[in-house]
Amino acid sequence: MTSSPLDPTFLHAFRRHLRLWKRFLTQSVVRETHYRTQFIATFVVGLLQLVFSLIPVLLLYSFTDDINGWSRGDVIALGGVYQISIALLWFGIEPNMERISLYVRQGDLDLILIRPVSGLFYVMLRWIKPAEIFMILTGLAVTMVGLAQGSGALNAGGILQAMVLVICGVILVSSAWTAIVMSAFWFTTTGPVATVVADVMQAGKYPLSFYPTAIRLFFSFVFPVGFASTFPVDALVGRGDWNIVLIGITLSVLALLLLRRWWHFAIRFYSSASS
Amino acid sequence: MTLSQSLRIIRRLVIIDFTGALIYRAEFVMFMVSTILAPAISLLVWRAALANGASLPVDAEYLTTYFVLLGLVSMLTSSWTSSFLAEDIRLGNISKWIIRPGSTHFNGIANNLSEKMIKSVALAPFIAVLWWFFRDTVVLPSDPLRWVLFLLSIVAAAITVYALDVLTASLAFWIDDIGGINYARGLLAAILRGQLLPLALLPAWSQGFIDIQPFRFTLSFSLEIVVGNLTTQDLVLGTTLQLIYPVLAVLAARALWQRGLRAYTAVGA
Amino acid sequence: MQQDYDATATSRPVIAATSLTKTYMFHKQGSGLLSALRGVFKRTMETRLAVDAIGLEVHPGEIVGLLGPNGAGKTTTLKMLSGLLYPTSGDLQVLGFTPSQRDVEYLRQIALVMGQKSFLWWDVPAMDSFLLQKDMYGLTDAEFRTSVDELAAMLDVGNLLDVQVRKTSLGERMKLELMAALLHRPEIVFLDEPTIGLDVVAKARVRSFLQEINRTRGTTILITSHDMDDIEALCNRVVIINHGQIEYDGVLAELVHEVQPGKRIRVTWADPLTDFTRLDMLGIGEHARLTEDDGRTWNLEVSRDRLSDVLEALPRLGTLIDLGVADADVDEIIRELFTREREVVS
Repeated sequence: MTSSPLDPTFLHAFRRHLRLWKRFLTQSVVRETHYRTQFIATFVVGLLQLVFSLIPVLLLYSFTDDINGWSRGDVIALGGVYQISIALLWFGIEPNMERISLYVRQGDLDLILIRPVSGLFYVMLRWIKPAEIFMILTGLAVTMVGLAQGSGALNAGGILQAMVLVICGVILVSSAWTAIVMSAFWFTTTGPVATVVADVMQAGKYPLSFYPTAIRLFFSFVFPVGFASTFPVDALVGRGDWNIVLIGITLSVLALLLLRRWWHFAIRFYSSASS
Repeated sequence: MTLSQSLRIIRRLVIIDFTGALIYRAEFVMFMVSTILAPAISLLVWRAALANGASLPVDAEYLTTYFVLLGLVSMLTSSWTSSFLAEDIRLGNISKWIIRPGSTHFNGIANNLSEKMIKSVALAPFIAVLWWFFRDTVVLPSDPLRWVLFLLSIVAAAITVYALDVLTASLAFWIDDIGGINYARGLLAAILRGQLLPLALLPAWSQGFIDIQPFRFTLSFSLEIVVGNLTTQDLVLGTTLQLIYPVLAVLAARALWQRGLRAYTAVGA
Repeated sequence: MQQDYDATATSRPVIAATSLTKTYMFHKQGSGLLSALRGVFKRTMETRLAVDAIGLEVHPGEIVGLLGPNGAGKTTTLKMLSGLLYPTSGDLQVLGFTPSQRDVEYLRQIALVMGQKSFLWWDVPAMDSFLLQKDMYGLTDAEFRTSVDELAAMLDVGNLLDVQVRKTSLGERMKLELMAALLHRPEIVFLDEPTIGLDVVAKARVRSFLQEINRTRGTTILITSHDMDDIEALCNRVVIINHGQIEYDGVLAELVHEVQPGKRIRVTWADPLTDFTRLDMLGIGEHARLTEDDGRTWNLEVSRDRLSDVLEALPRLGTLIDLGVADADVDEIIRELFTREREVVS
């Protein structure tokens, strides 16, 4: 069958993959409707975790009103924004992370590589948990509660900045997460890499200014969970800076390009070293 | 089955487990990174609060020492056997253990001990690094009696937690999915045993109840012994409770497990 | 590097491999506590030669079986041919492409089915996985519909398409797996142990389906197996791989004649006959070899050109009850080939 080429231009390839992702999404929604109890359980667990994470914040601020310029309301808002970022990640990225090392270990990667789709696209975005999307709503609610209690000045510009920053944060964290998990190729590790990364992410629940400088830098540029939580809240309380937004966008593009390189390198290793 | 026979079996199982587990070296290192992360983050956050002038019921030394040791002690007093045991009950796998001499729990106990051995080795460097960073504010008692009490209370705490695991797993004889129960228990325990933050930081009106509830004696009390503040009276009362709770837990677990087994074998294993 | 490929030009091979070699490294660990502890700090790596400079040419429409014992290198060869593994050295061209580059245009013309691994999504009906294939291979609605109907009819799985995959039997699942792989009408299908674990009926179904596909669509099929029946039933050409080398490449029937040119004669006597020297007396002793003898039954191995002489002489030795003449058993031949030690090339 020598018909016209599959992807004559990059736009064609992009559209084909977008259509594929939509297929991933519809099928995951249909599947979720068959397992309604899990759906509810996800929601309940998410709520419990949210409440649970607010306890230390409330206790913390029972002893003081201000830490490094952050009031209780600000930190609650941070918890809410963090929740929104986590919801996006747990919706479209997290379900894939643990599976990546499984693909390698169980040899299922072969069946992915043999198909005419971007392998990186597939391993990052194949599995979706639609139930998690509702945690965005709870996150929004908490954010609004926090902002109401806080000291900041909310404006349209700040909201826009925050939204862009959250998207950048999600892209950056996803890229870092995927890159780390992919290193399973080298170490053929059986460890829970994906869970460890998820634990590291928890640092984003608190403002970066709570941490010593080195750690602040780490979470801003090496594992940029800062873009997913602290910086958007800065924007929402009126401390926003368009430079940060620009840096965020640039870093996101860079991260994706680097990730692609890393993937090709990893696949070359996989194709050379396995049997 | 005599005690020495039981111990011999457990020792053999521990060695087998240990050897098998060493292959998964990276896995253990990763688990330990996870273990150390939450306390490290909490430590940094509470120190930031202190640095900003917050007046806490405890001082910087207490906080820092507490969080530095938290990862290790929490690991040593932990148990993960509940879900596996419940799964075995659900799938009927415990049949193969019931027909063998010796307790069904030998395997679980051996696994618990061997993994803790490996995890201690894997965790040590991380604790050392954390200690090094905060060496100026970490204060440990020189009184050897405290350390003896510390070790004893860890053992007692570990027994209590293991027994509680068996207790919740026993529910699987009647209930289909105990995952929810374990999850709720985990959340509750994390707060009440001092895993999230030192119990001393909880609101003053709750302190009376906090002091005597069983979860305190599955982690917090062990840490409190070496981290400071306990008067002799506190120690005596605490130690008494520390020794009572494991006994209660084991008795309760034993009773429920036997009850469950009877129900299980009555239907046909 | 792509050429315009014309499927009717039978002179050009779809697969052309020269001196294809694959080595890989793995680590060893001894047993016991000490070795385990040592293994934490240091691992010794060893190199293994999985495929040793093999050459292969496959023409469109062929069904080729790669036969060999476990660890022979057949799966490694298959993976190199499909593009999953980089060859350590050698030349390889499939459909005019270098497979390891995994060009999109190359991948859409091939399919890979692995007997022990499933691509179908477990919890949903097979149709959902098919729709995924549709989007991955860029099939139009019309192409997809036609292909589904055609394959469902061939495999007789029309009523299974909307059933959750995990509720289907192993044999049904394999059929659905094959269907998924063939939706996009690949030129070449690579199959790795496709009938493993299936019952006799399911195996037969899979084989006849593959033959039908080959017949109606001209699909080239490459199949690895250590099951002789698969190969016998399906392949017109068999490539025997052992110790990473090709030990035989040709028609299966000829293999039998090559390795074991003699005929097997099974003679059953009315009365036990233990004196074999009587064959010598008849002057045919040196052409017949006694392989088994329990007095009543003789199993003789006779070279083809002396067959008639021996058959003529036998009735003179005693009263025959039964007489059978056959080719050497294929299974035996294969077993002999497989267990043969690797020849040292000096």
